[in-house]
Amino acid sequence: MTLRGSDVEKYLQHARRVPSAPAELRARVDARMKASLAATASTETPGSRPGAFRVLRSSTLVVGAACLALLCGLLVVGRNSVSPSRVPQCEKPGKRASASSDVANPVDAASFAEPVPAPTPSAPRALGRRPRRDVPRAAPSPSLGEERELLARARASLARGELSDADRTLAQHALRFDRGALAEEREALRVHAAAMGGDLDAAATLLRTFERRFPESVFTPTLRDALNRYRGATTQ
Amino acid sequence: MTRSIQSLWVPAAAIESTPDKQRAEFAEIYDQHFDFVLETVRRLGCAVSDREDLVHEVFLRAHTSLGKFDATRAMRPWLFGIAFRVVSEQRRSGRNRFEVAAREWESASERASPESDAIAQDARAKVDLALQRLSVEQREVFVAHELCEVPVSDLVEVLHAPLNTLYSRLRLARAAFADALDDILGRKEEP
Repeated sequence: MTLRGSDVEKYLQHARRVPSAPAELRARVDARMKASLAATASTETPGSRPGAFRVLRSSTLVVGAACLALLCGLLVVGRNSVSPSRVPQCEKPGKRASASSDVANPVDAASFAEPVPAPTPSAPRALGRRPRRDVPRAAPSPSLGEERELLARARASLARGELSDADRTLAQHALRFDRGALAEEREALRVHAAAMGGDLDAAATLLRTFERRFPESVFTPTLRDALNRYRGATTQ
Repeated sequence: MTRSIQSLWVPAAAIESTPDKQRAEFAEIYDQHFDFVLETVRRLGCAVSDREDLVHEVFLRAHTSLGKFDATRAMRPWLFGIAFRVVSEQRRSGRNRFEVAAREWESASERASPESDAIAQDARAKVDLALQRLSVEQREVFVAHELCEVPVSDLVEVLHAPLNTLYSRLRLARAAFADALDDILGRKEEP
């Protein structure tokens, strides 16, 4: 006798039931959630960010904003298309950091990147800024500094049009920090590098991979837009 | 489960920076869907030792992106999508041990659960074993639709595949699952 239809369904009905979680596992996750959310809350100060940003972790936001700004700048370098009237949407309270905005000009990109803190903790603080908070930030890990440095080199190479250097640097980052804190930014730069090199099929493939790996990335709309612009440029 | 975790994050900073409404919403989601998330992670095939980490990660991401959740839609498909991404990332990283024996998934406390009788336990174990014989892609769509009861149309965004592809994959997964169950049961046993 071969099981089919209703026989399989009998088993599935049992399997669909969701049993109660083991008490000890639930207690452990409860405790970890408590610690995680308290830590998240303690790194935020009231009113320190627009309302729509309050659930985003600060580190993600800062790194994401910086890299989005740099990507915008690179798009300008690569395409030489300027839209001076644009204002970075991330600066508007209540607006999420959406890359639905068009490519910004270099001035916009610079102003967009302005709130990003200096990469070294010892950098002098600008006058008139808010006083240091009571809760100290965790010191950045040494590997994060190395990641930043590698990606900065890759961006600089892209800006100069030295694609092979950029590819090498990105590959180096991937080798050393495959799942590093800035892996998302690296993969975004890989898409951009492929597009700049004229290999739009490879860029599209990389973009699909990027979307699967980082489905909620703020870079995705910008990358899609950039790819479309490159496609438009090649068909003209 | 009526237990609430609202009291878990009550430091002053949390109260000041997180609106009460949002906190209450998340606490309710956490309480109502904890078991579902745990079971989803298990069904997707992660090892018992990784479940705690994965469930924790799923709820952290849910907390982070709660503002983007469309309240007009069902919560479970949304949570399934997050759980799917977390498990997929874990699978790609190769840090965990998938394809473990189904019996390993059942901790001592699960086996002692009063709401699970012997027949149901046995049926679930056989289903788990049959799931392991599916390919990863078939398993994902089968677990999502047949066990977690997520509509196929909602899986397009989660699994990043066209609707027709998903239906085709589901059809193949059903056939493979039935074959696997046949084989496990020796074509004799029934639940």
